[in-house]
Amino acid sequence: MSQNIKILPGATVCEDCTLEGDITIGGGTVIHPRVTIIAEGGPIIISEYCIIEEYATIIHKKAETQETPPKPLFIGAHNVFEVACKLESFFGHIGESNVFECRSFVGSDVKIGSGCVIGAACQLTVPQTLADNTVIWGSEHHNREALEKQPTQLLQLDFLSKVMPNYHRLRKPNIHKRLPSRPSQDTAK
Amino acid sequence: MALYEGIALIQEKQAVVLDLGHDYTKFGFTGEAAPRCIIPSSFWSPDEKRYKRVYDYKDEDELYENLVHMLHLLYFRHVLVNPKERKVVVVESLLTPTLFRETLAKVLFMHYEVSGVMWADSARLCALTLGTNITLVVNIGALDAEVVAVVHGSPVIHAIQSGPLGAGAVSAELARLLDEQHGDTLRLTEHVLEDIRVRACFVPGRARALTLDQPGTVEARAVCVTGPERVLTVGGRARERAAEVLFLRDNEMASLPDLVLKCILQCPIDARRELAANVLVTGGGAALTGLKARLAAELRHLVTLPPYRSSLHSLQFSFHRAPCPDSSVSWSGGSLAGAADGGSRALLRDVYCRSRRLRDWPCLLHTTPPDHHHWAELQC
Amino acid sequence: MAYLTQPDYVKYICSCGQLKPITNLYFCRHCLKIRCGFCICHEVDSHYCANCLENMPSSEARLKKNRCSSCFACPSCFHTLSTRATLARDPAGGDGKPPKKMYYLSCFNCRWTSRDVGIPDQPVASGGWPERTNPFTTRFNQLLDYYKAIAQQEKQEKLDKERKKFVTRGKYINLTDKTGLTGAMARNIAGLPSSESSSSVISNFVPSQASPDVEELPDDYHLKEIDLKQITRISQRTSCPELQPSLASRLSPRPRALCVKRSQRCRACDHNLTKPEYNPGSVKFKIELLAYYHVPEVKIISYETIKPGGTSALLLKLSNPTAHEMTVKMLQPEDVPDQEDEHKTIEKTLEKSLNLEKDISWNASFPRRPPPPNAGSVNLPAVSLTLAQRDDAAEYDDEPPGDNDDIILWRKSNKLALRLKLTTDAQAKVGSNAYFSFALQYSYRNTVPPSATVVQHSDHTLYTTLILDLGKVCE
Repeated sequence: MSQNIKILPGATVCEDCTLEGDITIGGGTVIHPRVTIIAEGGPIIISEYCIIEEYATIIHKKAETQETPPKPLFIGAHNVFEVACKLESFFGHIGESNVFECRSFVGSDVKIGSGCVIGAACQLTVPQTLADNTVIWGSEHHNREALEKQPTQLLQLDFLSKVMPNYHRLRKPNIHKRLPSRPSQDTAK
Repeated sequence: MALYEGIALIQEKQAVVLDLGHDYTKFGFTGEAAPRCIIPSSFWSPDEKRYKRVYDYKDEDELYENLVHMLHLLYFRHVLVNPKERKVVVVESLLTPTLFRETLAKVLFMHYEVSGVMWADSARLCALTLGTNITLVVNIGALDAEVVAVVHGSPVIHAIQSGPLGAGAVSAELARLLDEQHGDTLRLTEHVLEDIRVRACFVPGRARALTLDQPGTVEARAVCVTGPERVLTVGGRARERAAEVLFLRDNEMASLPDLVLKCILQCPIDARRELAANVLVTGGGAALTGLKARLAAELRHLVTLPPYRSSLHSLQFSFHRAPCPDSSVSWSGGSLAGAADGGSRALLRDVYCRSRRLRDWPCLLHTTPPDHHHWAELQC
Repeated sequence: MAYLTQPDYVKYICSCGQLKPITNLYFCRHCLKIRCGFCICHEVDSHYCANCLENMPSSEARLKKNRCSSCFACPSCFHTLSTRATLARDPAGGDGKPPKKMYYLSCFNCRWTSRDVGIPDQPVASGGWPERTNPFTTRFNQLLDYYKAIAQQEKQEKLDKERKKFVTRGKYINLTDKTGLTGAMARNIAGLPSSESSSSVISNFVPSQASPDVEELPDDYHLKEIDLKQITRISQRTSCPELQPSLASRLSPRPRALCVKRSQRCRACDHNLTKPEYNPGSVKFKIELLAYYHVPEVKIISYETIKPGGTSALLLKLSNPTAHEMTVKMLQPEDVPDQEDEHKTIEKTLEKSLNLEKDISWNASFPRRPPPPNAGSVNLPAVSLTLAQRDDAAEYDDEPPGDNDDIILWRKSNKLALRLKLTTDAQAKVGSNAYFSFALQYSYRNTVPPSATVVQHSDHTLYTTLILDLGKVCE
């Protein structure tokens, strides 16, 4: 598998995590140590201001009919992947401001809109489509529709990006000029 | 005298009302408009490591143990009072098995040492919430539908009608329809079926029900119910036909409207008009969307057919609305009855301890009139 | 931890006949008997909120309907709601004024917020949250007054009738004598208000009015799209018994239900077995008479597989939890003397005569379950064993040489390991449960003086029967 990790300026990516394949990490995103991101079925593009916590796993699975060139898995901005959650997906688009709570699992046949919350330990394995602002919780997978999108974690992001370099080795951003297609909103660097 | 009574009233602890239904138990204080809790009639059994239903018993000992656990849960987790020295109003059906009543009495009096128990039948209590003299109570419970005519405060025993047409029958039919729709035995749990029944099912109006089997009828919209194992599509057929079992007439004439009409038919002729004009449809099963309207339409249609036409054709049906949600109507009646007379009608603990006997209507001991020639024999 | 997670291999027979592990048993120091949760009397001790750990006096709890005044539960998932603050933007564009802090309730589990159902944000964190009142309260109170008045009238009439019996009859025949009508009845017949004030309630009462119209579903109901997310589940409805809302938009935050601490009391002697500390944050007890602290504990170390007709070895560990030396002897369960007669001492009968109605008859109402049949018998040594008292410091001492023999495997402070032989019945079915039972005779020193006058301790010989679950009978 070709290693092609692109880290945009402003992203905080710990060294102690497994990144395989063609991965783009947007500015402002924080990736904690021990995170696994595997892009085996095609590139993974993570947008700005996501938080990916310890032991979270994101896998772009190989589809049976692989297209050439492989289509990317695009993860929108402001998503939060909590501790030990797992996301398996084929190419596609995951909206923004979703929360994947601790130990949740999202299978490859699940389409996720924006503003969704997958509750702690919820195992979404059956094919389904989550409309925007769906909240799923409990072992019975109760669901409801939230009034608005989940609030953004800007304060938390700010704190993490300040504190993280003090305690962990970080990967350096390797793309220095702004990409015209996805302008980084971070102007600190 | 009055002063003494006043003191007694203050000292008397507020009684509790217990409506131990098959699926849900309602429990709370007398004199309050709504029960404190409505919880499933089941408890965590540490021995069997599962939630166990109270009505899941093989013999008296098991029932005794179930009731002890259930009442413990109700008293110490939900209502938070000492059962001791406190009266209880027990809301029961007239058709409660003797074993169940007597075991419940034993648990209440001996295990929890309550000071008195007022046994009251749910039909009369439902009628109390209206304040009418003559009422026809149609109680659709979890398992059975019961039709009882209450005339001037007493139920017409010989006219009681009952059939297995409760919410459980609707759930069973729903399971069958869903299996049919998916061409597979889905083995849905009761819990899932209940959820679908409550949220997705409805009872179509009579006009629509008649066209259901005709070709070219537009089916109702399907809905998707998501769960951990599957995303279940509940077809329009299942949604609107699940409750049709209640209205299915066969040669037995055992549909819900038939039960109602049969009950009226067996009542005294001078009460029939009033009964039809004072129908109260209650019980958890009655909360199904559209059920009451459909029952009304079916009743009005059925009186025009034999065998009811000859004697009941001129009846005009009118329906009451109880001052509480459907599922807790009989509980509210119990709350009224318990609060009104301060528990003076209760069977006291010492009386029970002496004779160990409950009054019951099928028992000749309690129903033989004093002028009957067997009365003297029964007393000794 | 083993007690919490593992099945109970060793069970004791409670004095009421229930089989329970030692951790679920109590020991009444006054009756000297083992009791369990089933045969003791539970009592509500104190009310508290499990969320804010705030005590509430029981009178206040009754007034507040057993609900906490500061904590709320989510109507959607029943989790506790948290208060969140936002900065409200002044709609009038008030310049110079700092933005005001506004609060709303939010659930961290299902993300329900009080804004979902249109409850306005509050300016204070602690509440002022609108309460939904029961729409039926007025009607219910009318009914209640009506029936109370009827009950009152009935009572009055009964009293009147009784009084009439004793009234010396006058010379003249009055209306009642002639017709059997009481004054109240006559007034009633004539349609006059009877003398009591309550009658106005009765005459003003309006019974429920029936209507021929029942709310019908619209004709195109079956074509309407329904959104299940907007319809409440049955648990959400029943959590609010007053309203039982069927639409998610009608849900409202509910004050959190309180919890109670329970104290437990022996039914036979009315002494407390456990009494918790008042402070809700404390998990300790003021009185804690658990069997675990008074009855010798038996644990299985290991055993050989049980075969029909065979003998197998069994290693047991006995420990003495008390602060006194204990002599233990093992007996066959049928050799335990009947203790029921023993306690009918004069003192007991006196107590009974004083207590009059205090009956222990409830015990008789529940038939004792016979213990499960044994798969065989335990070959018990006829010797008495001495168990040293529990001494927390002893663990650090050097071990004295143990008196190892063919029964005692080892000895360690207050513990003792035994080697026993099991004889399994030849008829025992393969695959059936291998239960073995034996009884323990043990000496117990009661440190509680029976009365203030007697100071010295009293020593007792007590018995308890145990059942060991040794898996299944194997081939």
